[in-house]
Amino acid sequence: MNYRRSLATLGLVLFIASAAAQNPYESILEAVTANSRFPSDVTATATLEERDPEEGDETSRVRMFRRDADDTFLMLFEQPQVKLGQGYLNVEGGLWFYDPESRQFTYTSASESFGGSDARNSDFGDSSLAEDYDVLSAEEGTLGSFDVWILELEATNDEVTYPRRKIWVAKDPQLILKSEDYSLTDRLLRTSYFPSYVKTGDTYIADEQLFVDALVGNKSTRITLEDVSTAAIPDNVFSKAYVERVNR
Amino acid sequence: MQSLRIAYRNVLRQAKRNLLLGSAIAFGFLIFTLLNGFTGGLLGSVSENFANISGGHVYVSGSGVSSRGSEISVIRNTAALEAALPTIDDEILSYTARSSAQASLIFGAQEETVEVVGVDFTKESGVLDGLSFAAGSPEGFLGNELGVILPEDIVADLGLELGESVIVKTTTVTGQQNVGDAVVMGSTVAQQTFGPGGATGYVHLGMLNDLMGMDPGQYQTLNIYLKDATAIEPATTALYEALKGTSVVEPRDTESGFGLPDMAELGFGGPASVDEGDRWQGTKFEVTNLNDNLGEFASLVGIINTIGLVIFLVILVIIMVGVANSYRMVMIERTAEIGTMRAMGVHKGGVRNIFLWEALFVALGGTLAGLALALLTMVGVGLIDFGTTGTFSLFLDQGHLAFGLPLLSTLANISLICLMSAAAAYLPARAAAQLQPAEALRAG
Repeated sequence: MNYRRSLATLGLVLFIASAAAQNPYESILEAVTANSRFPSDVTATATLEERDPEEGDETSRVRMFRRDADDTFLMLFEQPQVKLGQGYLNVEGGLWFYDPESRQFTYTSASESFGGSDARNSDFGDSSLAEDYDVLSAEEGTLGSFDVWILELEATNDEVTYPRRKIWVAKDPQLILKSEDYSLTDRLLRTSYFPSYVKTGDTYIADEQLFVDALVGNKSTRITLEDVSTAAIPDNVFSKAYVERVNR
Repeated sequence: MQSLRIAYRNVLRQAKRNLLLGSAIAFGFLIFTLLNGFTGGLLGSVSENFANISGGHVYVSGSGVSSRGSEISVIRNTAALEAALPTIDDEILSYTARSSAQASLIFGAQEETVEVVGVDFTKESGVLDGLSFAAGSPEGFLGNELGVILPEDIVADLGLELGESVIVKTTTVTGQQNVGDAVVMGSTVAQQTFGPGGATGYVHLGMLNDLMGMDPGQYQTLNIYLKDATAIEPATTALYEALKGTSVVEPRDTESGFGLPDMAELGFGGPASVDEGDRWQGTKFEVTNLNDNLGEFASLVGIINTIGLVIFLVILVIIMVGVANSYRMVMIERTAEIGTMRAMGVHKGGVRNIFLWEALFVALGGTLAGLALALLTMVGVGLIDFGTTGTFSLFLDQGHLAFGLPLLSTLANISLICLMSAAAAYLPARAAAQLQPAEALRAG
């Protein structure tokens, strides 16, 4: 009997210890992930305004198709004319870039630049903050008029684009308002701002995003989303055949 | 001997007709020889240029699978590879271990993308000797472990000076963003597009490995220069078999086609996902060679050669028809002469041989003239400097068109044309030999 009681006590102690050991701020990451992970399909039109002191300014228009349930997305350039038909297709764990001139798909990665802008391919996919990062430290603060949590994150694996991030998360609803993204050598690479969100159902999507390059002065990319819809997307849209067909 | 002398005299006697016939043969042989020489030289130039671009004749790359199922392009088990190298020790001239990355170089508000190659210069000091320095020196570069050597046009575009620090941004082999600082210690002459130092920046292997998240002794590719380029296939097979005995090795694929190495295989596109059933433990090696990359190009050269052969056969048929017609006319014109010769005791065989020797002389003269013209054209065209920049320079040898003309096949072609010309002249020659002396004299 004593033996059984001892075992039960030990189990309870371990359970309490494990609960105490779990970082309480991990739940913030889980909430952020849940708030921005769409249970349904999402379609939108994105306008990218790039400011580059060397290359000059450029505006692009991209049609976005996203299905978080399968971790897939398709981005198709509609403007400018020189990029018309180019596409990024994320299917079956692989990200492909389609060039309509050569009519070929080239393997690319989530960490690569999106169409030469300051946005990364990984910025357009499903949010996986809770799986990919641990919270190193957290503090309360304000960002403008918002009460926020300021979290320092460290990647749980070596395959995410940014090994370390610092994010400003609004308290209600829990959404990222600002992010500083750091390299493996801990140097600031870019600062991202998400000043505006639209809500569809219980999920939010940033309809305005600003990515500021921290290494090249005065280089930035602003993305605005329009025509956000959660209508179902046909399965064949997330395929290489579809990308080729729309380019005919 | 008498027939030979008379045949020679007859050729000179009817110089105009034989000159026209010989010119036709010469022109045909000129075209065929030029085509053959061009394709022969082209294959040699492209092979050599590709060996320079790829840094060798035989290439070994390696990759592993991460815990998340991504293929990571790095040779972590360098010991297994280095243990296999003695298998082809007699064939190896030198070998180079390399890491490479597409990097953004940032200086002020300027940004340029360049391929950066990491080299262990303590083992490969000869690499620096092969670079044409526009500024800086090998000694200065070797003295700075953060040193970088860049193409001079990149240095100019970024507005850099020697000794200045530049930010190097790249991705690790696992796909993470990373940046470091490098110090410009030299610049290379930018015109060597297809030679060492072309559009490539060089850094110390340890520095690049650090940026790419690799251990100091690791590398991504091992490129082997062979003493004899014709030993590519046996050396590749021997190395492949030796590695297969100790490690996982990608089955040989010799149908890769013409082109530069696949950027995804070198990890430039970031790590690719590997299906669960296809994953492996440790380092998987892949052994390729120059011929794999040049397979389709060699096929293209083969097609051009086949077209050349068809042209050659058409030319041969035209020559044979021309020779047969010419000697039929000659026989009619010389009927009285043949009758006289026969009456004076020349045998049938003697008359026939005179015709055959004449055809041989014309064919030999024509082919030798065609060969001489072809050689002159090759030398002339070979002197033109097309420059060493641009895609076309891939087909050139140091900016010049190279021609390759195998002696034996050229001699064989000359012999074939002579023999076929003699064969074409055989029927008229035999008809001439069959003429009855009395009838020939009467007809003449």
